[in-house]
Amino acid sequence: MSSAWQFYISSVLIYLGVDIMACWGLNLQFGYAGLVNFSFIVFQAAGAYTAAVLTLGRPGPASIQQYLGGAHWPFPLPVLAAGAVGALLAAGVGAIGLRRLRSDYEAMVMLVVSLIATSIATNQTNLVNGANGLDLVPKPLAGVLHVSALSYQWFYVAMTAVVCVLVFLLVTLITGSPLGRSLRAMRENERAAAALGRNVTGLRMLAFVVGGGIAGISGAILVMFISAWSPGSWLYPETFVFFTALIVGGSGNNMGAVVGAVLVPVAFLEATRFLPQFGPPGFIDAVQWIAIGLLALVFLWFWPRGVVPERRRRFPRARSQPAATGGGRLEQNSP
Amino acid sequence: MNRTCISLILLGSLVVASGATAIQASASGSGTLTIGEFTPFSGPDGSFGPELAAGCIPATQLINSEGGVLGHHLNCVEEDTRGDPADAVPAANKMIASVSNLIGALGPSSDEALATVPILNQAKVPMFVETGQAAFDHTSDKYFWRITPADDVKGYALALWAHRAGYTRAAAVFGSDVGSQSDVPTLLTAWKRLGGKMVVNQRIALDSSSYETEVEQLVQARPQVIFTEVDPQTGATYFSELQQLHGLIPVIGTEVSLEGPWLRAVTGALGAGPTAKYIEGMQPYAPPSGPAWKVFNKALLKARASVPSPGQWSADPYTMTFYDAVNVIGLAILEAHSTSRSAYNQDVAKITAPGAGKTVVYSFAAGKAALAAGKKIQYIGAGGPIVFNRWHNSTGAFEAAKYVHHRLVLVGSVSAQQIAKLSH
Repeated sequence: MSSAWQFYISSVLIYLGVDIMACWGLNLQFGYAGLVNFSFIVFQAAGAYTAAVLTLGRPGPASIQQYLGGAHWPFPLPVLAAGAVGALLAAGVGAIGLRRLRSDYEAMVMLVVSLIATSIATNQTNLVNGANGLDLVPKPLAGVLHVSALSYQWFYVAMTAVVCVLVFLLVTLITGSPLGRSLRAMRENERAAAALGRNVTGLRMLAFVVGGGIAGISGAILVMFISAWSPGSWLYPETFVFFTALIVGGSGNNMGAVVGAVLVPVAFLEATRFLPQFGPPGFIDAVQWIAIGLLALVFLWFWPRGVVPERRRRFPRARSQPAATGGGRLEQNSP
Repeated sequence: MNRTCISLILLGSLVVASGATAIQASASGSGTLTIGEFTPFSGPDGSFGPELAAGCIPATQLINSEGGVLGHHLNCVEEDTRGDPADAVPAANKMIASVSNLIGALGPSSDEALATVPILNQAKVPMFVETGQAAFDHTSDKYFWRITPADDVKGYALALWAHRAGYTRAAAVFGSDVGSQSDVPTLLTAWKRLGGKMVVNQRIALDSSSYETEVEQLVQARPQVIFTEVDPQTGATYFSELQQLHGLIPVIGTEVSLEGPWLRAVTGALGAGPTAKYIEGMQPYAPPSGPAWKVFNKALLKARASVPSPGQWSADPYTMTFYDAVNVIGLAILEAHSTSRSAYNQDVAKITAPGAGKTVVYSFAAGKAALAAGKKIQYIGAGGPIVFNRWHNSTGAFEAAKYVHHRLVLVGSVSAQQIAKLSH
């Protein structure tokens, strides 16, 4: 395989890792907890900006880009800080948007948050360099490894895979535990969950904050690879790509999120890059978002549970095991 | 959904990807050389793509009608960066990996340049960029070529034009946004080198309801001329308050001051007469006239089948420079006698540089004939002469214009040589 193809494939694999992490984060919020977070991309952006600022150093007065703060933190501290900032931002947004609002209203607030965040980042030029965004973000460990550009690409693929595994362990820990069952119970019937003694506001905040933190980490991994980040990278439609991925892959299960990330942001969007040119200049690119919307609609209409549906949890009938289960814990069975 | 369906979807995705790759490869053909249009075709800056394609397509059609280069035909292939570095990085890698016989790229734009120029340079793809970012003013990237002026070059043009008018005391009134502020450092440097005094330098917040304080400060400093780049609303408010409180002072703005929204807003606030009398703007000089432009325009209008409404691009300086870039690529290949990217890249500057005994050509056809006759050539494009400095930047000339009777009137120009002399 030529080095050019290796560069391309390794880039796609890194993007796949980032998208899988982001889908897991959104899946925790939307798939497990039922939170319609239309501002999800904002938390990825916050993580990306944090990692960029914490690796770029302080801007000088003659610097080509201006931003708040700045430091030369060694890897992996910027990634961890990005996760923390994503979580903190989620806590702030969640405190306003999740406590009293539900469903449609909650979604509207999140969409507005996304628009406000883009507007602030674009117009407050001293915050994160406005519309031009941040560039020349150093690549982690590049100065230490002393390897060829292609070898570094594959190193970055491996590093992304390691971070993916860590994030997977975190989401599995949450979703496979009694906490995960509480999240699902809240998603299915919030009042019933509350009646059973669950703190639904706390559960919603927890899912929102952890999802925000994961989004921040995914943003950090992405920005340190591409070396640049600007408001154009996180416009609100980007969130809908992740939602489409979850709808197509199957929300409410981590494997469905992986399949969705493979099929939508990677396979589907990358495949359109290879389409032969036809129509006026820009025609194919213009219909791309329409195609994403149609994909979501088709799946919602015909396969609402996605390619990998969420496993249905069933409990044994009381008659079949009256003695064994009476008053004790209920066992889960596969369908 | 069962496993069969999953398999079908996965298989379908693979078939689409691989099939499309095959289609694209066959479309390029083994003998066809491809130029990548690496710029936003979608997203907020999606207008860049058609503007660039309107230069690339007529140029390749014209070259092909002349027999191509070294027996190869040229074609242009879209590569959408979506105006976003996150999308542009895989797009760059995909273009390099999958486009057959890629000989060069037009783009990237400022949206994605800092993230993708290193990728293209590493892959030894000559690129004729549209980014104006000052970060590339002194680039060491061998495969980077910039025909359009850098953003900060405007500062030199403004200073030269004011100096020629005899002004010695000036004020700088620029918006606080990054784009406007990028002009200021070179303006201050150039104005000082020309012996002028910058009596006040205002960095103003955009779209305020009043600028009385700033206007008072400006008036107290007694400037003879105001340099400016602000958005339409800010310009209308600031200069109408200056008109009311003190009376207008001559204004020299950047190309923003010659754009429709700015002129409409300011003319509405000041009146047509005062606007025509006091406001001038500087923009890259690419007059829709001359022998090179005539060839360009004829080719553009002929490309109607591939370029929708081609007439809209006839006077577009960026479309002209991309047309010129394709001609430069073609002539450099002929000069190098090689379609190797690294080989012809060394000859790009040779065929555009002026020199004694060189034959000046205004089209690919004339250049091809001259090279075949063993002559050395200087290609002058539709956008004017191209003189690359050692950092592969061609500053180009600037023109000053006024808005008189609802149309722009050219009032003078500043040459590329004057700007180069002042900037060194």
